[in-house]
Amino acid sequence: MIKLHFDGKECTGTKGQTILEVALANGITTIPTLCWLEGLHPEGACRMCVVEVEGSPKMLTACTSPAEDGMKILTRTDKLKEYRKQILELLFAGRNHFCMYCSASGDCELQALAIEHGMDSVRYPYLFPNIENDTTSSDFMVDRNRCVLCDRCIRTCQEIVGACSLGLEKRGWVTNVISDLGEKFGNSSTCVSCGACAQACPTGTITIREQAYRGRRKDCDKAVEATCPLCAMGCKINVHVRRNSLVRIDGVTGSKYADGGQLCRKGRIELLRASEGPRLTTPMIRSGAGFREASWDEVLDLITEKINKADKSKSGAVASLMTPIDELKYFAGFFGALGIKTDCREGRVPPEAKYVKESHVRSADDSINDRENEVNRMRSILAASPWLGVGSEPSEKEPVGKGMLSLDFLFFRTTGLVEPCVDVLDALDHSKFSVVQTPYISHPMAYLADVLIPAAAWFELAGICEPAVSIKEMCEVLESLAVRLAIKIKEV
Amino acid sequence: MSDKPKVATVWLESCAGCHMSFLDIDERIVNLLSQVELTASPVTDIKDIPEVTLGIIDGGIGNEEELHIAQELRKKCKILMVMGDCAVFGGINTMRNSLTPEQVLKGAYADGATPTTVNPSGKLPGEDIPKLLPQANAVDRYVNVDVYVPGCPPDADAIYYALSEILAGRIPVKIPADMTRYD
Repeated sequence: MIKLHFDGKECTGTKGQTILEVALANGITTIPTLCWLEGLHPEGACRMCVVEVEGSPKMLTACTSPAEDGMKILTRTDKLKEYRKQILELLFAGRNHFCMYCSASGDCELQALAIEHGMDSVRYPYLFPNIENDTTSSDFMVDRNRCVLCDRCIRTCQEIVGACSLGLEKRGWVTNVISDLGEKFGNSSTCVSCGACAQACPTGTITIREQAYRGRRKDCDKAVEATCPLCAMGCKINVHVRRNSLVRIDGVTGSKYADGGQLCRKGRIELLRASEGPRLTTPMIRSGAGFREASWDEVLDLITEKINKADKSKSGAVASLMTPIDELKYFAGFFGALGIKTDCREGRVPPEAKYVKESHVRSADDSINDRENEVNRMRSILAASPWLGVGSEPSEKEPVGKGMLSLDFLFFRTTGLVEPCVDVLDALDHSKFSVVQTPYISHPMAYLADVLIPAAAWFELAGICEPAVSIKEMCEVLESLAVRLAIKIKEV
Repeated sequence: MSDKPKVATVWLESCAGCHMSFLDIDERIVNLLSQVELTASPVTDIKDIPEVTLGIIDGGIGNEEELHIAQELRKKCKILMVMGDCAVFGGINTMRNSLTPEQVLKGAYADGATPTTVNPSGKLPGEDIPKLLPQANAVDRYVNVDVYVPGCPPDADAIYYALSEILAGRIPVKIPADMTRYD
């Protein structure tokens, strides 16, 4: 154990810790940082964390200097404040740090530091360098004029993601963050588009398109920690919510979780994308090329009539993997009572659900195992035997099945989460009558339906926002249908 | 004429949002105007700048006329305050600085991405309007500045704070962090 003094306060640490680590462990928050990020190895690139140490002729960077026993450290002298302000002024003069047209303004660490240090003017001439930006990626944009060369993105890509896509080119003020030794981000063969670099970026340099201008973190009403629903990895997500609308999804950083805040592209971008759209609030019935609003009675009567007429062996029902187990029980019980075979016993999720979960994990890999499962699933559809598939996304890997599907009746329950794949759209397209229960009227599946029923969206089911439609309401729809069809929903 | 301190404000290369924000100090302006005499200003529409105690510049400097006005005001005022990011840092006007003025004019009037019905022949502005400087820049690149109020626009509170401090004779003025903004 070693003893250090921060501005006169005695603190304890262990040998091997840096000055900053000891300070943070002892609740000293007067050392500003910019390039330092918890979970990454310190680099000392920005020099914002400089401190004065008694006996040392020069200022030391707290993030990289090892703490030693008996150090007397000053963290907030006038000299340090002036020095740090000077660093900020040089950073501002170096590139384009005009906040008024930056999507990160208000969320920016550089801006916050400058305001904190009372930077009301810049003494140095601006360089206005002609730096090329990169907007080739469909998922994010890189505005290198906003870059402070803190290296946080590069270290994140290396140490947390393990993709090692990012690096630096050139030297001095024209240094740039690049991917794949100079390849455009859109053409990068190593980038997995996970967006971890954007979360690590302290300025507006790397921006995820889906998050840009949705709102600032500080303007959000709440940040809810939840579990990503997309696969069995169960990554922790930090969902920022403003006025019941999702603003951004961050990984949960810090030492709390072993993954260091890593999310995949689906978790960070697709999940967010699936949270916006015009909500379906009333049932609707197809009318020509569009839909018209209808009463519940009219819709339920119509569905009852169609189910009665339909050949049960040529009918199907699919529920999204995100469907809550309470609703899933009703779903399986209802269609089971109609003569549709289900594997949903004793309230357990049917094996298909497990399978789909696993397939999400291996989504990029086209293994034989996957193919066998998919082929088996598709065969059952082609044989038009009664089926209940529980999965968010029957695969698009069986093009042979396209167009051969012809169902009398198809019920699809989605949470708005996934882009539907071709075979589901085909199945909907070829159904004589289809019902889609969806949160969004803009959902691609909704365009092919004959009847639309409102549903809760994934983030409402996950308890992140107040639900527009409750699970109880969704179960009531099936109950009303059961009464009309004179069947009893099976206990499952 | 009163012996109240005189104030002149000018609007250079900017959107006038800072003057709008100045008017956003609302009813406090009554008290303020009882203590000063507002002379030349876009608010009073008086163009000739007299000798004043406080000169206020809203906007950066990007052409010869703006430079001239800034220099005139500097000569005629005891204290010069700049407000808004354009005047303090250069702001959005500096977007053109990676190009030459010739490229900028050509891009705007002749090779613009949007077809124009107003100027189909792509005629460039002649000598009748002020010539662009090589770069658009902050005011303090050309004249000495005493008080900086950053923000795009600055909060009305920040402007009021700066004016109150100057009136009370407390210079230099530092806008507190909770009133400072750059956007």
